[in-house]
Amino acid sequence: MDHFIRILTNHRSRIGISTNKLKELQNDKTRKAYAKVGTDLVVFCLGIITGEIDSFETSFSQDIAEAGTRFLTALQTTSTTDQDDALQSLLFSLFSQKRCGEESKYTVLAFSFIVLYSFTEEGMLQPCNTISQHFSKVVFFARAAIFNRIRSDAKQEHKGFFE
Amino acid sequence: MDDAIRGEGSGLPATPEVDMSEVVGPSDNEGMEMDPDATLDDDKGYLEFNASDDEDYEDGDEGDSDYEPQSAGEGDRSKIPRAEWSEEMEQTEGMMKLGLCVNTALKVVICLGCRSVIKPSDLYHHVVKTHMMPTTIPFCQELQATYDLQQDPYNARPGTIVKAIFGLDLFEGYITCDTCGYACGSKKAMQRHLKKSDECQTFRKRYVQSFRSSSRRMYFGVRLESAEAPFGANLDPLAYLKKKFAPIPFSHIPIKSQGTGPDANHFLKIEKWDLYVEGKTGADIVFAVREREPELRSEVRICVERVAASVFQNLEAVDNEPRAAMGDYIGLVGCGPLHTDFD
Repeated sequence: MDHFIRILTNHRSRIGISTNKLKELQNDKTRKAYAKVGTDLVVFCLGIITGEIDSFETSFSQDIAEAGTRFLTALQTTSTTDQDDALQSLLFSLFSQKRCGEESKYTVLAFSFIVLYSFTEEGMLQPCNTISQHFSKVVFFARAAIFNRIRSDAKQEHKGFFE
Repeated sequence: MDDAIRGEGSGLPATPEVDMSEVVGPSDNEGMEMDPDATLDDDKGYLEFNASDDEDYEDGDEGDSDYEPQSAGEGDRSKIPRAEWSEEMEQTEGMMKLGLCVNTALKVVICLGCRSVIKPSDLYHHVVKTHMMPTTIPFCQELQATYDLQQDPYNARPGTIVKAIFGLDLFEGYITCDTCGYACGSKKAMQRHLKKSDECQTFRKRYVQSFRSSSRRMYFGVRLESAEAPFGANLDPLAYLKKKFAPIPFSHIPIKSQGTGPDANHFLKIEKWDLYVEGKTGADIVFAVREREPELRSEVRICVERVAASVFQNLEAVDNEPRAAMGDYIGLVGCGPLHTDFD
């Protein structure tokens, strides 16, 4: 985590989460659309981890496996706090791999999902090679999930965001 | 064969007195809206699909309607006919006492009290716990063995338009594939379905049924024997020509690693992902990411929506500086697709 916060501190650049995007998210329908993308990703991830989906060659880290298993266990409980924590960890583990620029970036599960998802009808990548709004939603969802995790961890440790 | 199982195979089936307050699950009307525009043509046995209907279907939340259509539903139940007893149905004396009957063609056992198919593995529990009726595990096992009942009927459709199944409710207002019987509430969902198969080409409104009486229904189209029209009469020459000359849909073209030109393969090459998806079609991918584990998906979605709401609330609450740090990291190696298309 410290390593990650250090990266954030050293590499501030442009705003990825814009005011416009946030305004757009005040619309309930938009939020649901983002949640739908997130749901697809999580279900795909769980399918890969448990071996239910084996038709695509991909890989996942130990972190992803642990977080996925924890989330599956949490789903069987009634505690929404446990479920939310586990899900937040899973999302973080999915996306932080790529963000940290690991060598195996192209085989990390979340990004296989993004590429696969781009080929769905909703992804609309199809023959025109444009990165669709749905692709954008996955990216934004990733950013938001990482942001939330870092912020809540920093808060827990009584640190400022950039300490 | 045990008489208790086979027994009397004819005569009107009986439904035992069942305390419906014991039946778990939402009522048939929950979460369903009536489609005021659905019109029944009794002479044909199906509901005409009109161009004006499209607008209603288009309004649904995209993608959500694949599994549990929300835009269509049952109308006034009293106007909807009931499926009649057919030669495919069997009910022995033993089954009659428990309010069960079997559809031998589809190999499913139906609880007439719940108007639902029961999984063989749940049968004993269902009869004893839900309806508080006396039965034995050997009876249920023998029932399963005798009729070779489907182990998990909830996750499959019959695969074709079947005769309306006695004991299950009929619903109207859904569109169904003429070939495989897939039913859904939106035209978008149907179009996605048609793209997945070469065989499925046309659809229309029909009565539908579902093996489940409560949530997570998988609807399929059925025909009413008394109101069936000959297939030839429905042949649409325009649809035929369209099918014959239409290009292969993108979702059915296998992905190749060495693509040329500005197409999806170019994107794959840049991402170094071509080898991972080579040979797959878009339909394979859709299946992997959208249509697996529907029950898990519904559970996960609740959590994701909750977390997303909290995340977005958090984002809104902070000022610009921390948010700026979540932009892409120029200077870091290998940030790939995260550089692109944020707004």
